[in-house]
Formats: sequence, structure tokens, C-alpha cells
Amino acid sequence: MIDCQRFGDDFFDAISGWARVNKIPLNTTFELTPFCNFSCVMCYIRLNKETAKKQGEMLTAEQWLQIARQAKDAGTLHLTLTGGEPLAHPDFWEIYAELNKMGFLIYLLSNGSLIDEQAMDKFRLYGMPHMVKLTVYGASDETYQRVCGSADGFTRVSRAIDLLKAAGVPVKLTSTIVKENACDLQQIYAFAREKGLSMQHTISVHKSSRGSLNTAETSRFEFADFPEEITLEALEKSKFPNQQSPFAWCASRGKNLVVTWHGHFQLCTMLSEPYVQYSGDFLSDFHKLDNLLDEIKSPEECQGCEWKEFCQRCPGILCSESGHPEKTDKAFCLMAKRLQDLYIRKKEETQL
Amino acid sequence: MYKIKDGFIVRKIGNQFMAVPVGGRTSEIHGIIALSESGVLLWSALENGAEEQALADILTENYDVERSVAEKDVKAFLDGLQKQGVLQ
Ligand code: SF4
Ligand code: SF4
Repeated sequence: MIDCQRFGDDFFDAISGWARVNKIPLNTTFELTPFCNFSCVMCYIRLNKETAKKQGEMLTAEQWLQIARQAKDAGTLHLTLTGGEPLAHPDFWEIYAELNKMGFLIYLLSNGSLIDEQAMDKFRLYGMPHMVKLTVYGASDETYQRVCGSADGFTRVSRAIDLLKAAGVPVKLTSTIVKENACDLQQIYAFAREKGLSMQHTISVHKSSRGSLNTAETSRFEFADFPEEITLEALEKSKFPNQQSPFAWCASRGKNLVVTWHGHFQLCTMLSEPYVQYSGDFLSDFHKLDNLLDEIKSPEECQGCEWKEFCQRCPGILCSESGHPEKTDKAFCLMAKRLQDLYIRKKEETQL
Repeated sequence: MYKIKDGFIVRKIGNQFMAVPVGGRTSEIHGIIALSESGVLLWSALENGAEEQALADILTENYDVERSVAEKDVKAFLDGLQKQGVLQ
């Protein structure tokens, strides 16, 4: 039997397992720019010009393409383009056109606002993305104004969805729910249903160790903020068993790589320390990073911590919250404490 | 004569071969097409255009396989490609 079939999930699971064991960067993300045409309150990447300048130089289009060619040789199949807003990069189309000739499955992570008729013409010319993942920040232009500082963001994302769907591009919707858009939660799901798309939301929002001035601490919800909705069973399930290694729960280790706008090789967008500055040799930089990640230890405080079962820590989250994967952050730790308090209270209530 | 449309790149990741659509072809073909090692041989021949018999020759020359089985395999392979919309 000679295969000539479209791949299903089984194949992707198999190749993903193989990549992890063999340390192959199967999934590479290009964070093309730290800039964005929106200014979302929860964003942990967006920078202003001055801060970006202090952090480094943006990679040029030619550098991105060199990295891409080396990534392909190293085994990258899934290539995610993100930012900031990737389409806001001044050389986006130049980079995109070339990437689309190389044989990647390209995933575009966007706020959708710049996907208009002209952009669709360019996609038709250079090639369609394999998938577009759009973040929906609300269900009206008013909410977009409040969350993203954009007066017509909702209208634009709605248009983007229609255009992409008409062109047959698979679209996935996600949403991050914070205090500023929580009132729209039901309507966001209704909007997705109306468009015939699936939607997944998260309340997971983290501080930024990357110089972005977000309002995570005041904007975000904690699970403990929903004492009525969250059941004892759900709390039992969300317990984190004792972790042998800091990366015990990390699905990205060994096969994922993020290349930032200034050429930092990182495991993920949140784990900005340790990183390796791109040297011109993709595979050797990827392996150097992997060796550095091997050295990361859990913070000492976590050893005897009485809240650790309810702490959703990993090196990336710790890095975002405290600035370093081996350090804790008081406000973050208190979230685990509050969850544990809620668990104890619920348990006592059921025993009464 | 069978011929594969242009706009594909054959890649090997691990021990898995695949044809990935590139450029404008991505508007038409979504995702990638898995190829076995023998599938890659047939694919390469089909890039320049080939008859069914010539494809069966490739299989019998490269593998220890009966002619009748090779012909059946070629038919199934071409049928698969046709269904995927890959042939011209
Ligand atoms: S956020 Fe944590 S679990 Fe996710 S990829 Fe980064 S280190 Fe791994
Ligand atoms: S709550 Fe703080 S100290 Fe406790 S396990 Fe989590 S990060 Fe470590």
C-alpha cells in the first residue's frame, strides 16, 4: 500500500512525539514584531518604540528568511507567525511571500484588524495560511475600545472572519477574558456560533517580564474569584501533582522554539530567560538553548510550599510573573493560596 | 499521461515523507499529503509526467514486487492523488 493521504491527527501526534524525543524544532514561532496597532490591557509582548530600542534591533526581512531556511532544514513543519500584530510588520508581505514558497504549514496569529480585501488579494497571490487564529477581545466596538484602544476593532475582526471563511481558510477563535470584557463573554460565544466557528476562552493572564506595560494584576480574574461556579470536583482535578522537573507539564520542551523580533531563541513567548541570541546557525542555537533549559531548577521556596498543589507554575509562567523562572512572585503565590483556601472551604462544606 | 500540478515541495521530516503545497497552490489544497518511500519515487516521476506502465516499472525495478501487485498499487496511488486534486 503506497500512502498518498492527507494527514490526520494520528500522524501529527506521531511526528510530534518523534520530534520531542529527537529534539527537532518541529514547531517554530516567528514573533515578527513587538509592535501592534492595538494596545490591549493584558498584552505581555507589545512594546513602545523607546522600550524596544533599548532591548535590541529588529531582525531584517533577510534575516527572517535565513532563519526560516535553516528552520526548514532542521525539521520545522509548523511555522507560526505572530507579534505584536504580524501584519503590522512593514515587511510582512515580503517575508510571507518567501516563507510560503518553502514548504511550511503557516499559522497566522492575528488580531484580525488588518485582514481586509487587499490583504486577501495578497494571500491569494502568495498563498493562503494553513490556519488563522484570531483573538476576539469583545463583542462590540465599544468593548474593543475599552480593551484594545481600537474604535472599530470588532467590525474589522468580523469582516476578517467573513473574508477568510469565504476563501476557505480554517479559522480558530480564542478570547482572553479580563475584567474589561467579561460582560461580553456570552455574546462572544454567540458571535462565534453565528460565524460557525469554535471558540475557546481563557482567563489566564500574566504579568510581563518583557517590558510590556500591561495591567495584568488589576485586569485579570483568578479561579478563586468564582467560588460559586467552581466545584470541588473541578478543584480536585486542577491539583498539580508534585513535579519532578520544572518542565514536567510543559508540552513544548524539545520540539518548540520561539524566535523573537530581536533574534532571541526562547522556548516559549513567556520564558524569556534563558535565551540564546541567534548566531547565524539555527540548529546549534536551538541545541544551546535546550542545554540552558536543562539547567533550570524550581524555585527553592516551592519545595516546602503548602500551596503548591494549587499553583499553576511552570518556568514560563514564573518568568512572566517574577522576571525569572527560578524566582517566585508574592502576588502569584497568593493566587495558589486563595485557590487552596477555597478548596478547604468547599471540602468542609460537603462534609457538614 | 499523468502529471502532478506544480506548487508542491516534497519534504522528509524524521522518516516521514510528505508533499506540502506552496504559494498559490495552498488556496486549493489544504494540508499536506503523506508519501511512503515508494510514493516519493512515483511522485518524482509524476512531476515530469508519466504513464501508468512506466510507474509500475519504477516499482518493479526498485522493490521486490510482482508486476500485477505493482500495477494495482500504481492505480491506487493515482486514484488517491486524483481524489486529492493533485493531478493535472
Ligand atoms: S508557558 Fe510553561 S508550559 Fe507553556 S511552553 Fe512555556 S514553559 Fe512550557
Ligand atoms: S505558590 Fe509560590 S512558592 Fe508555592 S509552589 Fe507556587 S510559585 Fe512556588
